Amino acid sequence: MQAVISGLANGSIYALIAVGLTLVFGIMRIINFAHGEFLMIAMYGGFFAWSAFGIDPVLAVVIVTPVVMLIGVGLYKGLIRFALNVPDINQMAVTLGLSMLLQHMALMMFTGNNRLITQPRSTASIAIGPAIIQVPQLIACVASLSLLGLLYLVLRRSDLGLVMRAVSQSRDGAALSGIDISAVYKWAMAIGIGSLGVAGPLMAAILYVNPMVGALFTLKAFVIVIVGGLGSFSGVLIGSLLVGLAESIAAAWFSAAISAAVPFAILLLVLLIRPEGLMSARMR
Amino acid sequence: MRDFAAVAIIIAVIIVAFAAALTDGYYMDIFILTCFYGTLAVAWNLMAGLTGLMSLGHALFVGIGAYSVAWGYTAHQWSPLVTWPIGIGLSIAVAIVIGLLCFRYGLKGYFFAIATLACGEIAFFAVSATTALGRSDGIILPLAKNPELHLQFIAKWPYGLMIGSFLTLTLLAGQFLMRSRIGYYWRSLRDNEDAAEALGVNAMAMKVLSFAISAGVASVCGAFYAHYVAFVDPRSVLGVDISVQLLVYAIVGGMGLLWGPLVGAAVLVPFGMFLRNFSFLQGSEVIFYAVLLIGLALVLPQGVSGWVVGRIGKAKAAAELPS
Repeated sequence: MQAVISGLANGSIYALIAVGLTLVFGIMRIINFAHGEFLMIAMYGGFFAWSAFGIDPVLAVVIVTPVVMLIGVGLYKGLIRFALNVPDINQMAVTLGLSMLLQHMALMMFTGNNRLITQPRSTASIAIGPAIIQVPQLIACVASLSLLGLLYLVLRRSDLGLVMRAVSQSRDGAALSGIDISAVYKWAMAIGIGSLGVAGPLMAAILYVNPMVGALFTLKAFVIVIVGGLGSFSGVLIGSLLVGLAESIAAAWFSAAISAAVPFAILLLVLLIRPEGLMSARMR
Repeated sequence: MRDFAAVAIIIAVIIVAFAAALTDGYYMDIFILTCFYGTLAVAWNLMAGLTGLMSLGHALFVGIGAYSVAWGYTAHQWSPLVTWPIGIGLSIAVAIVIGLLCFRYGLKGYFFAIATLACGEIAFFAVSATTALGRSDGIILPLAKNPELHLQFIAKWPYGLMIGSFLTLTLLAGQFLMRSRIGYYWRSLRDNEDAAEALGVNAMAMKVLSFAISAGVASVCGAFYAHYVAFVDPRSVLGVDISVQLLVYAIVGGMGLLWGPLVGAAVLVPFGMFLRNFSFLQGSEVIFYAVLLIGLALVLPQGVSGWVVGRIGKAKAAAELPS
């Protein structure tokens, strides 16, 4: 029971990370291997807001998110824009290079020390039936689900969402209908990376931050996105809950190393049985 | 014939480099590592550049080769005559299974890359959890009673000779394959799979063959690594880092030619070692790699070798034109 609760809590946090990746892929058809590194930056942002200015992680979200969104736009303007028309493998090389660059720059600037936001409420926990959930985890979980809801509304109900869905269905068709593709891409990056700005500070209160933390989440986000079906919104939610659950159950029954391999085993299974993903509506 | 001429020049360069490296253990170390990564990169490119299958899981095969040697030797005192075939055979078998599964469901491009990445990561975590394989602490290969039989040498040159000749063999065999029917099938699959299949190329068999050969070569490199370093752990032989490094060499060197990534390795490996001499630059070599990788991927999509060969071709064409 405890494993199920913490698995679901982890899963909903994963969803917040994976949704940005799938958004960027769905719209721009580019796989961002540096996605986790932006999460790492956001986590550091949250950590330093707390350690230097004593800002609560929940408040830090309000500061870090716009900054990270701007970084996303800057990334599009400065780099990704040029990578859109090169072959797949070169795109991979560009984002992998970016991920290496950010990791090692963070290592130089912040050193490899593990850092964690510790507050009075860090150790507090709430009982849910026979299981307990820690307060920072609960906060991140609630924030994640509400942000996912918000994003869903934006994509479904707003003009921006309509335009984004159009671009993801057919880039050329959308361009012919007079949609400014470049502006849509800019927004996709802003939202895709910006959602990490929400996840980062809240996660810095749960998990140690170090320069390598991002790589782990990039891989997990990939797994989730492919398991759920590329570009599928509901797929992200289902995929991340599945991965979170499987991980924590495997950790409870077996060892930590086995649990780390579990997401990849799920990925292989899904790729082999249903390569298009579990919720392959293709569309949000 | 032109292609063979290029390979002949490269082999001559390898021999000269080996002779030059004989003077100093440090240079020999650089030579050995360059050949190690160079061979891996050529094997990787056989798949990626020439058959159009990007793998991000080649660390898996390096790991199988290295762990076969390390485990066979420490647990059973098996000689390399036993452990190498085990490693190669196991790698090829694993590649065939992964290949059959992936290609059966038509995984391509990003999806194939991520599927292979996942296979590598599963092996990484599985080995990290297996007590018989030393968990994440790795395995140290102790000195044998008759060291030569276990490929343990005090001098470094025998290792240089081994990996240098293996690289040469790989290049020659690869070049031969490129010129054979199979090589043309591979390139036809890379350029247009549907068209190639329509013309009767057995896509499945050809792709699996390419994967198996590439994996076999990679596992020989892994086995060699275990002998040379006398220590294997999941990070050094099964980590994603190796797979990513191969991509870096390929992008820098160019993937259109069999030996393109070798050029990348020959430039970057010694340069990385050189940068490591300066302690104040610690970790900066990766930053340098990364910037180079991003820049070249965008500016020179065909890599350094492709660019140079293109230039030579253009110059020749210009010279042959009647003025």
